[in-house]
Amino acid sequence: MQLNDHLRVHYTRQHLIVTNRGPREEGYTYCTKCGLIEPTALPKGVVGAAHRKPYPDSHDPNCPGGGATKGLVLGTDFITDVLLISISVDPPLTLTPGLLATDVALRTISEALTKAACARLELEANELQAEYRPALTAAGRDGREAEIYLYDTLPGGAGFAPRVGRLGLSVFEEALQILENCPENCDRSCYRCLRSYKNKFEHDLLDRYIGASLLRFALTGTTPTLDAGRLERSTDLLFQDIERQGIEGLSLARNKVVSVPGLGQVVAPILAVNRLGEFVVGLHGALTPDTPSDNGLRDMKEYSVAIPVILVDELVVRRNLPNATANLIERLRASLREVT
Amino acid sequence: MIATEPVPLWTVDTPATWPEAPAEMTITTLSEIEACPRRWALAAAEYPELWSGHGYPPRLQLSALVGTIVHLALQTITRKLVQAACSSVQDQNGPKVMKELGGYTKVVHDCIDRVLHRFTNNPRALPLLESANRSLRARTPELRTRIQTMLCRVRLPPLQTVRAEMRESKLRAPLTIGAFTEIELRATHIGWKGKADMLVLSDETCEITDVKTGMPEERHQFQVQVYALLWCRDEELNPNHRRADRLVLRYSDEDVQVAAPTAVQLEEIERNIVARRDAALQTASQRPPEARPNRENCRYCGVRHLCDKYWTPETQFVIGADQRFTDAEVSITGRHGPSSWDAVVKLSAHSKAGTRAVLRTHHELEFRVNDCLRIIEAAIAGGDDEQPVVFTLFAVSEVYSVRSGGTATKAS
Repeated sequence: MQLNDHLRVHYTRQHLIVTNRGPREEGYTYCTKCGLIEPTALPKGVVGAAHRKPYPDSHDPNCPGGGATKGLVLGTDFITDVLLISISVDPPLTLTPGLLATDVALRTISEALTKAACARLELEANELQAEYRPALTAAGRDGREAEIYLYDTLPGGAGFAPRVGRLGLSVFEEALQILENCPENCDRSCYRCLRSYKNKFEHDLLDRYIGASLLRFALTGTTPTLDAGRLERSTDLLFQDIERQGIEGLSLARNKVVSVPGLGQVVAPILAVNRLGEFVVGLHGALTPDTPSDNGLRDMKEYSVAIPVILVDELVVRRNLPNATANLIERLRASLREVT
Repeated sequence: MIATEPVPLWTVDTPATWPEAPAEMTITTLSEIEACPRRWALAAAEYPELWSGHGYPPRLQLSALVGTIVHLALQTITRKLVQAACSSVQDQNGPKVMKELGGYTKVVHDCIDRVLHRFTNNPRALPLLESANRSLRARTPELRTRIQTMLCRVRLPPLQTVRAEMRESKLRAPLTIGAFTEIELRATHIGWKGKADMLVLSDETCEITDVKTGMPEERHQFQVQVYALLWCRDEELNPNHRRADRLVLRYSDEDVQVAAPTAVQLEEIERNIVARRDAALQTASQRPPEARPNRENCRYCGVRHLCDKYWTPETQFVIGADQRFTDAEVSITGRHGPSSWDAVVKLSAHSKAGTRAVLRTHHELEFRVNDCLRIIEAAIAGGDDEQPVVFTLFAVSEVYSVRSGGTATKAS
């Protein structure tokens, strides 16, 4: 059922396979002789060599080893009710598979949708669960479509997932409300909005701003823009961190007006100047790579011949500032190596 | 290689005839022959039974494609700037030119299309084209930044006349003031030619720029000095034998100025490249040309599955084992599962001959017992605790079936 231009839902009842790939997704090492199992990622595993059996055996308590199978993935499958939700996006928005931003956005929406659906149907929070994947289509591979599958956790299904589908757009709107209106007005996510004990392993992937920007686009078609306050704070973070490095020969200015030949005056969020010239540094949203929020900067990024524009992912600035700073400094420093 | 349908089989063997030594030498060809004459010959020979293109169908290598795209985009934009009589990158008309081109993003996408289009007749590259297209487009922001940063360092001459379109018209007449991209330079009397990325001529200066998208290497400096020689000795483009006075290597992150050779130094370079050319031609004329296997030469060799010297225990020992990917020659002993096969290792830098192996494919390949396969760039796992070594084929892996007598059939 097509809900709007960007949202489509499809109810199905089928086998779901739940897998456990172990720490670092390296699987488990399993002894085929005695059944002892341990994560393959363990630096000092014991399964390969002789070891104690994982069950009482008074006759022969030790297993000789030599029967290990590595990289085993644990899994189970069960039949349940599944609601498949397809989200399609248009450039500059992208849901490129494997990118952190894509994982953050889809994981966050999955949690918000589950919460909204459980509230609407008056269910316990653990009766519905949601996961996501790139759509198994060309658009999915290109980062233009992703799927969230909401399912009943009760094996056999309890009929909740199809009821969520029948709620139409309203459940998505309520999920957006959850994301936009945290009682604590938290920076990313907290126990008042998205976090719970159930999703404790996913807390790092919950960012209500990024989730809301994607869900807002799906509901209204509004191209995601960074919240002005958040953009300023993130740019400040990056600026202060670079400035703190005290790089010789590099001067920095914040919100400086620059005159770009043929384009007029543009406000540079960060202006970096070395003896070769000027570089404008700005941030782009996590889901809109290489697309600054500001129109002037957008023109400059596409058409400027005289001054290059370097854009940094806002998500990286907030989650891994040292990495964002180091990458930027390397690019700026490299330009100083020019031999004249 | 990923394929949803069986890839048409084509047989390869050592070429029916080895290629003739090149009539005109270039820096690239010289480097290839000097590194490994066999590799050059296998890659340059004709394979009409495989395809209509020249040489052995090249592999699709993403890093090389990125370099080509950056080159092409810079060339496209620079030529348009010159045609629009922009006197420098500070020119007010620069953004107008970029708008006419549709902006950097469009230029990048156009260049990706143009570069990949060159592979549409290449049966070896065909199964990878879609994923390569996707990967390259996902890297558009990175490519845009690189191109814009490099473009901002371009020096354009103050032009009264525009001659950038000369190259398209294939004219080879004396050059006057102007900026010329992808300009072919020929010193016919010594049998050398080369293509400089940009030549800028003004009353005051003569500058040759070569764009490099990889890491700086010593040989790049020699290359641009050879271009200076070829320019000076080009009787058609430069009958007055004007010398280049500024040589620039333009890397992604920096410009490196190379000392322009004096007249005496040019003569030295000329003696050097003539001697090296003669030696290379002699080596390339041997039948079969000498193979020089080593880690450096073989690692990225696109024809190593054809090279008998590569598939020897000695060479595999020299190359050494990689912890993640490997080449191997195996013999199939039976089917292991729907998309996996039991095998025995015949030769590999990673495993001893006789080691049990499992070959995992992710598309349908049919083998027979005793089929001998050459696997290129498979992911490796296992092989310890008396477990079989597992060769997993992924997107860029290739498998060739070696028949008795050395004939190989491309299977994936």
